[in-house]
Amino acid sequence: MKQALTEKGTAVQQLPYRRWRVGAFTVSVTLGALVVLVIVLAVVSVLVGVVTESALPTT
Amino acid sequence: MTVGFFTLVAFCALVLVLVPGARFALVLVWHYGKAVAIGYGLGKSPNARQVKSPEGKRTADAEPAWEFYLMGQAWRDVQHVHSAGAKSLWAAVVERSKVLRERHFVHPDEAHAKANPRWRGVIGYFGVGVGLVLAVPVLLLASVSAVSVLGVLLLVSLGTLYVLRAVDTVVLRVRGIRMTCNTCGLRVTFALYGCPGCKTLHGNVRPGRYGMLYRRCRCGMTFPSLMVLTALVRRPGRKPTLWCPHSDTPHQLSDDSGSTPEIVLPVFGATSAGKSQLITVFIIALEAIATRSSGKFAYADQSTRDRATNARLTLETKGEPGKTKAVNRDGGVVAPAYSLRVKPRRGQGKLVHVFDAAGEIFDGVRQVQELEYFKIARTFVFVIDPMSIKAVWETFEERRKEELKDRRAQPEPFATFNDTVSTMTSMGIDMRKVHLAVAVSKADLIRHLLDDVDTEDPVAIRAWLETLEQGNLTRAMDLNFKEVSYFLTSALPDGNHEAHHSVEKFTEKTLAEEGLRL
Repeated sequence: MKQALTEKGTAVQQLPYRRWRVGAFTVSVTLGALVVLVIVLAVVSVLVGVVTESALPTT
Repeated sequence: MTVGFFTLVAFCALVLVLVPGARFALVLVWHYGKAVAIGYGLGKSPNARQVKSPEGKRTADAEPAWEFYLMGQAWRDVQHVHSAGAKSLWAAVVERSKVLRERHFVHPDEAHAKANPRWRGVIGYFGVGVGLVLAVPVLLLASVSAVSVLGVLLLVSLGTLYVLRAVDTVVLRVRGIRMTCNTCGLRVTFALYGCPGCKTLHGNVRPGRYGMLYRRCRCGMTFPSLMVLTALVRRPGRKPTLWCPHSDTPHQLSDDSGSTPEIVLPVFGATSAGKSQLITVFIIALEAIATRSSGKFAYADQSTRDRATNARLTLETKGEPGKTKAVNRDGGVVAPAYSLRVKPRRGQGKLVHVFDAAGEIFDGVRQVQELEYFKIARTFVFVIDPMSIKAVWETFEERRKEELKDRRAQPEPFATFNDTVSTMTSMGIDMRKVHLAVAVSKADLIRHLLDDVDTEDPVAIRAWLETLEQGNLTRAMDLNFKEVSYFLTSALPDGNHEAHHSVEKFTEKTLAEEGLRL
């Protein structure tokens, strides 16, 4: 693979597929965050719904 | 009121129970994400999975190139990162459990026991359980979604792959671009690519297993996997070389192959008919006409440059070019073409391959069959030595005959024509689609017979041939070919990079038939 020079001038092996891997990780993190967000929103909306409903005057 | 109070209490209790669990779930997600990042080779201490290195050179089922990520490494990475994530998650659970046990269930003294009561340990364990219950579905869902995205990308890539291949084929067809090997004369559908970096040869270069738009050689250099993109590469150090795959030892195609439409021009005729001399002067004429009309002319490869220069020098010094050598290749006959790049002032440039086959090839049917470029060409040039016609030869005095006998083709033109046409028919060539340019060479040697002939008029030349008892030949030509044009040529250079006007006319008309108007 391509040789890259570090600041000290030493040749190091650049990892192959780096861009693809960064992309795959970004997709994983984004989807993870979305899943967490959706779950949190769902839980909060359920809880808010329960509390709101309980606060309503009963007939 | 009572219901509302109890609901509020239950809600508070739930929140109190959920908080440590949610906090631990976040810890688990963090550990998992960190392991995934490290597994993808990110961070200060990356631990990416070892990639599968390409082969050193081509094999039957592998190329010396890095695989397209989605078609191999992506799935090995998915396996690697998620098993690393799962291990990291389990390690976090074990670590937390160990901490809780040592803090809340193993008391070295009374004070420690008071500070860390068992009931808090129980809540801690409960938090671990809740955390796992919260984190695992989230991580599972996120992982499945991420893998699904990769899967969708792979499916899109597979679809795109065929679209790209189709686009490449259509664009080439619309532009009329085909590739012909100027060494073996075969049509090349998928050329071998020479890496612009390490020169390693790559086969099957098109969107697929080794990339969609580009292929990365094992040396790290990338080059396009589509012909349309290859044609756009202008930097010499980045442009891959193209090679003919039809031989055991591949040979390089002309520089403009794959980016310029081609004209394949086979020249046939008996030994010593004057084919090589006509071709040598044809090249001089082509250069002169293109330059004169503000067009561009160039040799398409070094081999053509060397051979054309040698032939020109030999012609100028000895009065005739060297004899064409038939070269055996893989048991067949190789007659390398002169490949010329011509760009008229207006219109599209063309790559002209002029195949000069040694006359001996036409002496044997099997050898003619090896001339694969016969199957590709749409215009053929048949060179007739007028001295091989008995009626012409008998007009020479004995002394002149003695001088010219070594330069004379032996078989009568009809014999060579008949043999070649029979073979072409057996090769499956549809000659009703083919144009034949008949060049009667050595006109300078038979001037005494041309006093009453309009040498510029094809009809007059045909009629003149018929007066020389060649009616059977002209009729056979008319019968077999779509169109026949006649030229009288004196293939002589004038030493000032100019050709005889008869060859210039022959060159102009013949190439115009193929759509190259200079």
